Amino acid sequence: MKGTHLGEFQELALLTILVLGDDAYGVSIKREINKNIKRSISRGALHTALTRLEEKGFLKSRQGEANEERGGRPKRYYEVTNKGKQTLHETREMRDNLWNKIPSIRLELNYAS
Amino acid sequence: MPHKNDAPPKFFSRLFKWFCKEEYFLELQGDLQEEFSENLSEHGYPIAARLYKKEVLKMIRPSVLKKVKLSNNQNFSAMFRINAKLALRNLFKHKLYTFINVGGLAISLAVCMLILLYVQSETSYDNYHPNKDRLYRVALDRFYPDHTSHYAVTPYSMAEQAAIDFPEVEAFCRIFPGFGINVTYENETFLENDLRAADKNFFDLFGIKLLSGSKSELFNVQNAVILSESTALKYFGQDEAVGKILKSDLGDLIVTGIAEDTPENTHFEFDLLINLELLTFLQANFVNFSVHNYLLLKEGVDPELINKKYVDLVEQYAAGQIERNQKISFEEFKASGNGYNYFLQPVTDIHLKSQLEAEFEANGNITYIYIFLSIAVFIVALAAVNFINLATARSTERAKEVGIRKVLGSEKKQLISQFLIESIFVSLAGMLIAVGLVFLITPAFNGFTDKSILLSNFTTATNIGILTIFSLVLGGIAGIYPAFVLSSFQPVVVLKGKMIHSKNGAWIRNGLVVFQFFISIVLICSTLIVGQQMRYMQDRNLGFEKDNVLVIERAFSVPDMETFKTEVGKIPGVNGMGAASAMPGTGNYFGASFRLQGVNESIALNCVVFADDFQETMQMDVLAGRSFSKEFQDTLSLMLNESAVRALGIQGDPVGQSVVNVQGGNNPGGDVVYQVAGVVKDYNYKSLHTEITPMAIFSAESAFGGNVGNLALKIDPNQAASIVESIREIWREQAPNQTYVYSFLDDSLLELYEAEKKSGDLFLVFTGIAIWIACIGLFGLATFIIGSRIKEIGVRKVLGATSARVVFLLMSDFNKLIFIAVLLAIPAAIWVMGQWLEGFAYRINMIDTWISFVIGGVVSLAVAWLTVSYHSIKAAMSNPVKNLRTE
Repeated sequence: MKGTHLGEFQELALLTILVLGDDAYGVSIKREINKNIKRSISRGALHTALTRLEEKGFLKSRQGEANEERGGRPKRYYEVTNKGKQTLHETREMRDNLWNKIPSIRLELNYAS
Repeated sequence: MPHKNDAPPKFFSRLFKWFCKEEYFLELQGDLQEEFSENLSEHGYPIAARLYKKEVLKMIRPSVLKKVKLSNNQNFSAMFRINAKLALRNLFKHKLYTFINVGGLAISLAVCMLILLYVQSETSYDNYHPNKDRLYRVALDRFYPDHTSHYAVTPYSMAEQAAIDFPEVEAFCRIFPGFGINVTYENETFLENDLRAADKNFFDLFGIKLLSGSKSELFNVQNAVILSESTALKYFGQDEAVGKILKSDLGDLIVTGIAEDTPENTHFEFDLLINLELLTFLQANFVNFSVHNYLLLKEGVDPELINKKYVDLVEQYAAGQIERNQKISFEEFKASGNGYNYFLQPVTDIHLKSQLEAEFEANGNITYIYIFLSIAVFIVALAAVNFINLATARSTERAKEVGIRKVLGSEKKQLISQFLIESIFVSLAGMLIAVGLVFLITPAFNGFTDKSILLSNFTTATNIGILTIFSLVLGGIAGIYPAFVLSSFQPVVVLKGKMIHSKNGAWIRNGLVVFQFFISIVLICSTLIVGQQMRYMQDRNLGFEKDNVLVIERAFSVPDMETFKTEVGKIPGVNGMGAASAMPGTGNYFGASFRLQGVNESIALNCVVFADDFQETMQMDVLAGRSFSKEFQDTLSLMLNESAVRALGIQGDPVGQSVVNVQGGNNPGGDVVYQVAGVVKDYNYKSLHTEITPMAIFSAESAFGGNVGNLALKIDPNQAASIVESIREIWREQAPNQTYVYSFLDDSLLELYEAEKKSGDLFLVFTGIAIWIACIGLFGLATFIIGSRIKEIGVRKVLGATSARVVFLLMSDFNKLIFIAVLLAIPAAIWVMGQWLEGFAYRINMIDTWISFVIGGVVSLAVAWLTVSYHSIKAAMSNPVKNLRTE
């Protein structure tokens, strides 16, 4: 399974990139993750995750345009590959399977004991 | 337009560029920049910058960091190991060189570390108080018409009124410096000299820890006393002390708390701390200097502001009291040259920067700190110079090694690294030995400087880090010159057996020797001048006889003085006695205002009380009139010193003139008129650091006569010990519960110059070390120079030169260097010592110190000759055939 395993944070990153569609680059991804999961991640941490995902072939990236706000540095846009999408599906299926196996009564929150 | 503050913090963006992998740099830098601009418009610069820094620091992770490349050379570690091995072999092969090199370095580093420890302990004074940055002491420049005095003690109400009137003051605390009292517990009596009295919030303002007792209740009773830990131990042993009662001269004292012993780095010290309220003689007052006043300012208040406000405070509160006392308006008082300038001293500056009258204890001196620090730097510089000299000196021997290595393909870079590793080895070894030496010497050093420097303060991680880095840097710096010189030898030339000495190299080597001797000679001359000044002070005629005077202190404890004196007078060897309120150089004087009758303006004089025979016992000169004696009723007569006669403006014969002791508010009955009975020749009643100021002498029969506590005995020095014991017997009989305290006047006077004596001794040690280190350097240089002239010597001898002639020739080269050093050293020493002598009101003339310079020059020349003569004589005596033969 090595090479196809998705860490929790990596999964979040992939999903966020899909949410953002054409506008997925470093700053926007970070902002979206911070917004959705209420956890402050650093650009450095995100970088680690993105490089790992790219190495695994779940992501591809292309250089984008530069603008003055970025001090003339180009953006790098990220896109989820088919392999990435497939792995996301698999991860979700695995999870759904588990959820389905749990009798619903056991999922009720117990406050009494 | 982009503003300067629109850019992210420069250092961090550079840092990022430095450590970030190139392939990611553009993207990440862009992202960081974009976020920064966003935050900038949203939150402003400070927050944006902070977030940027945080982001950059969080980038430090393996996926972002560049790969570290130790060396392009794959054999790097193997090379390092070989170089290290070679370095060690070389060091062991030349044991003498290694020994002087490492030894010289170790000793100088050890001295340097000790100096730094000393400086560290001196600069740590009062740094432990909770609000030390806002805590100040009120000090005073008091201007008199003819001189200015600087006081650490100020009037009782000075801080209190400031706390009421100035909104910037948060709190105040007064400390009364105290006096000696007898304290009795269960029939055991001790004389306690470190008694202080303070306000209730003492333990809030000062960081001294309370070991038992409740902080809020310490001073709830008027007769409360807080003991230091060791005092509590002395009286009560392991028993509970709080709640116990001590009997004392001040009545019963209830122990309400125990405090830790005052940390050594405090500008005061106490064994017993009593409630200020117990001392009822301290009353609201704006004129008489009595207590140390401390102010805690509110956050962010500039002390200058308080200094300014004190001017008005004096006008408002003190002026009235002065006018009543002086009978003149405050304006007139100021116009005649009087004035008060109150100012705040940061409490952390007191130990090193405050030399006022009535300090709690003799303070340190920031000048000595600077002197010692520069000596530390010089000594390390000397050792580094040696390093360089010895390494170049050995180039003669190592030239062939270098040649062969180069022929075999060594690169210059590799040779340099080999020599650098060697010198770093030496410096690390020196550092290790130095640390060992510091451990060995510290106890002795503590005894010598009266400090308790703890080695645990020394072995901190930071210090160890600093030392390691320092020795690496030192090794690097010292090794770099020889490394470049040695590695730049042309293999063809050195293998032929020719030595190259460039003019350049000679210049540097000679310069270094001159530098070393320059430092040594400055130190020698300074040491000698310090000695001259100390001797001058000891031999100076102080205006009284200081030898063979035994002083019985606290003589007022004896109920019947006359009987006591009669008994003591019977002891063989006692040749006269007299009592006074203060012994010269040692005692406390009190101030009183006087004016000549018929003159409005009064001046303040230092005052002392003499009993009848004191002047005679001390052999002070009476210039006019008479001294106090039994034949006269002296209730209303006084004596003046010469300065006082001048200061009061007495014309004609002073004897018989009337002077008025201006009583002012203290004695509503009015002023008292005294007749001048006699004039005493100016004698140094304070230390020689200060000039003689005007003084009035009251008789023991006068209103001030209650406290003539010092009985001076003129004794036969051969019987000193038996006299002391006989008096002890008499004392025990007549004052059974009182402590017998005696001293010898000349010893007490010497103590005044203790700081100078210590620094003189330290100078001596440093001088010795500097000379020794300089000699090592010279020894190395001699080896080198003579080694390279060995053929010349051979030729000279073959042509008929005598050994003596050759020795003389070789020596003359070094003489030149020493002479240059002497010429440079003399002005430097004159300047430095001139500064030092400024600190004495009575000092030797710079002209009279010429002998020190002569001795300094001759000694350094002699030492240099001795050092060089070994090699010179060896070279001159050697067989010329050996020297001239080439294999």
